[in-house]
Amino acid sequence: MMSSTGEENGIKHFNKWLGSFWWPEDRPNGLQIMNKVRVPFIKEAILENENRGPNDNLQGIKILDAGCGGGILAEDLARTGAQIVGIDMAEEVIKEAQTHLKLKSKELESSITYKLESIESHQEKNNGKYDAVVSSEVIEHIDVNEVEDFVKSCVEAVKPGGAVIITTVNKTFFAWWNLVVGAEYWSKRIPKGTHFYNRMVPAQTLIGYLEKSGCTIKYSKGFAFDFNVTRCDWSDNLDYFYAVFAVKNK
Amino acid sequence: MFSVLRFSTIKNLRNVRTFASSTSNHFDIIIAGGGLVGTSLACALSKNKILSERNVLLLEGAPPFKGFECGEYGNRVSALNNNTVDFFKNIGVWEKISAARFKPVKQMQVWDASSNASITFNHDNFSENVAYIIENDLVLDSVYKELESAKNVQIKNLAKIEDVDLEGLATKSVKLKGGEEFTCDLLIGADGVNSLVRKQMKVDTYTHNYNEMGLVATLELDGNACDNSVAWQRFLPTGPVALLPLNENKSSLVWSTTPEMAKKLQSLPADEFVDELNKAFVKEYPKNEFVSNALRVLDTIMNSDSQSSRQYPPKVRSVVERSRACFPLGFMHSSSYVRSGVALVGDAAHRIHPLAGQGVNLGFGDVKCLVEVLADGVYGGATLSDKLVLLKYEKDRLVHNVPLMLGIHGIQSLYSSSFSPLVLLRSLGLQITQNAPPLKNLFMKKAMG
Repeated sequence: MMSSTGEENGIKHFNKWLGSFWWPEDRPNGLQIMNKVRVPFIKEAILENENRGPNDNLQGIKILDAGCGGGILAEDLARTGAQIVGIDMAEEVIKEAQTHLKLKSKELESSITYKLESIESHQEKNNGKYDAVVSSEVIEHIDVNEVEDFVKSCVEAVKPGGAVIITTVNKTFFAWWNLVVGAEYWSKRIPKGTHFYNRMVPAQTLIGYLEKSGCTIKYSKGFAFDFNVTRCDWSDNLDYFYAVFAVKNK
Repeated sequence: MFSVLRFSTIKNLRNVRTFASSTSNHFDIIIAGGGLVGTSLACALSKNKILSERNVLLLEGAPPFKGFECGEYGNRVSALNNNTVDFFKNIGVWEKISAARFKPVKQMQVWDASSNASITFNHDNFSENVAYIIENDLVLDSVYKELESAKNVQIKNLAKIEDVDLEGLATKSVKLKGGEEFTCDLLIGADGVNSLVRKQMKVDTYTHNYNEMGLVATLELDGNACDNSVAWQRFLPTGPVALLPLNENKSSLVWSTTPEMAKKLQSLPADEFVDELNKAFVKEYPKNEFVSNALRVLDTIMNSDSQSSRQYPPKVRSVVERSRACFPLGFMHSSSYVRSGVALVGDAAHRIHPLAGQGVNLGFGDVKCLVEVLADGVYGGATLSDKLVLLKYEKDRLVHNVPLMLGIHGIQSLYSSSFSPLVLLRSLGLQITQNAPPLKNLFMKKAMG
């Protein structure tokens, strides 16, 4: 999730969440709600990239989830048929992901593998191996100076012509107001100190990093939560959350 | 575990259970109740591209459906609106229905016995139909026939449910009276007004007994009915009486009235009954002069003539033997339609007065919405028991159903009074709506689709 030499605050913060990444069944957290929007986005992007029909599934597709956290995205993605490798640098969080998989989602065990390692070291061993690399809600948590390297490593891990899909928060007042003030301080749906304004990534910056790493941008789409973080929907702008679908040049 | 693979095709990702218990009794979806709404749901699931591989068990307490023949008309009919007909077309059922028989209604005429107010519903130039009158048995037969080719649906008749257990985190279980047990990811309560599934959900319900009974019958009309494509409803002080056309010279009766009156009408000799019925449509009730004057003033203001468009329903000649039956009328709404892994559809979730012919249309609307929402959820990687997905279904349906139900309940309350100010209010309201196309179109869109 962070460069091997990078600072540790983010990892420490997420390790403190031990046991609470997944919320109880009847109170889904923001990431679980977000799945309703980001999983179809990822699925459609990969289906299009692999020339599969819109009603097909992702059987046989290898996806790397860089910064998989507790596995919330990985599990729903696995249900589309793909093989997922999830990596993260927060040890307790990877443990929680593995426990949740074993206890609550046993049927997906053969589709998901979790590893405690950084994206740099992972892509060194798996250069160009994946059909798609996904990094969702990760880069807004790492040091600003390391985002470009992180994106570059993601692109290295994907095959030529493969899909790179990144979702994150835009660096706008609207996003800060809703996410930090609304979700962290007002409704307390997310622990304080999870997001920082200066770490949010402007869309143009991310697009620049992707292109510099040798990708072509296909399209991007914005989505947003309501103030109380109860539901998530597409929006017609990129002011809050946004997802970018890029393809690595051959 | 290998018996589960019997239900799955290898090329699709399936939730392979690894419990030690009898997995051949596990289904993705169990539908409790094989009535109009439950069977339509099973059919719609089998036709949906994303959900058609999920195995479904339909549990129905009655013996296998006896089938339908175009003999004498059944006395239970429904007025299906355009949305429902589109739904039937999409699941491949409409062909069978239209090959048998149905009656398109081009116009509805509604009037108030306590004043001269009236309203007619029709599309401009009668270009489209406002409703379709179809026998319930024909719909059921058509859906069951379509289900015969659904590979993923198993139907179990004489399956009376003894108990359901909704406490399991990922699976729900159903126990039949004979002792057999089944488990599922998603349990659908399509078991009617006294739903056992809903009772186990421990949700709050609002119920209201109308102290009315609905009397149904099949009638033969007098010769001058023309093409009989008008539905008639007159609000009497005791409740509305309605004639729904079945064919050129037959109509179905739905007469909502007091329980005493309903029982009396049911037991009258046939010719006396027909007399009472004909009287009900033409008998003059005392009119409040103030109300009549007010309506005349309204006519002048709106430059309309409430008298000239008056038509009269066809005269009834006879009632078909043994076609008279009564059923109680009430209002019910469940505070919640869903729980994790459980959802209610149709009368299990809501029950209304038949005066607007909307009851079963709401149920079919529930089915259409549930299938769409489930398909979207599964496409996005959710399990069938995902609460967020089911909550979306509930929200979409509450937004649609609650205003309609409150409106119909309100009309029932308003029209069951002979209190003059209320008569005035409803008569003015009716007359204004009749003469204000935007307002009328709003109601038509909501009710007729």
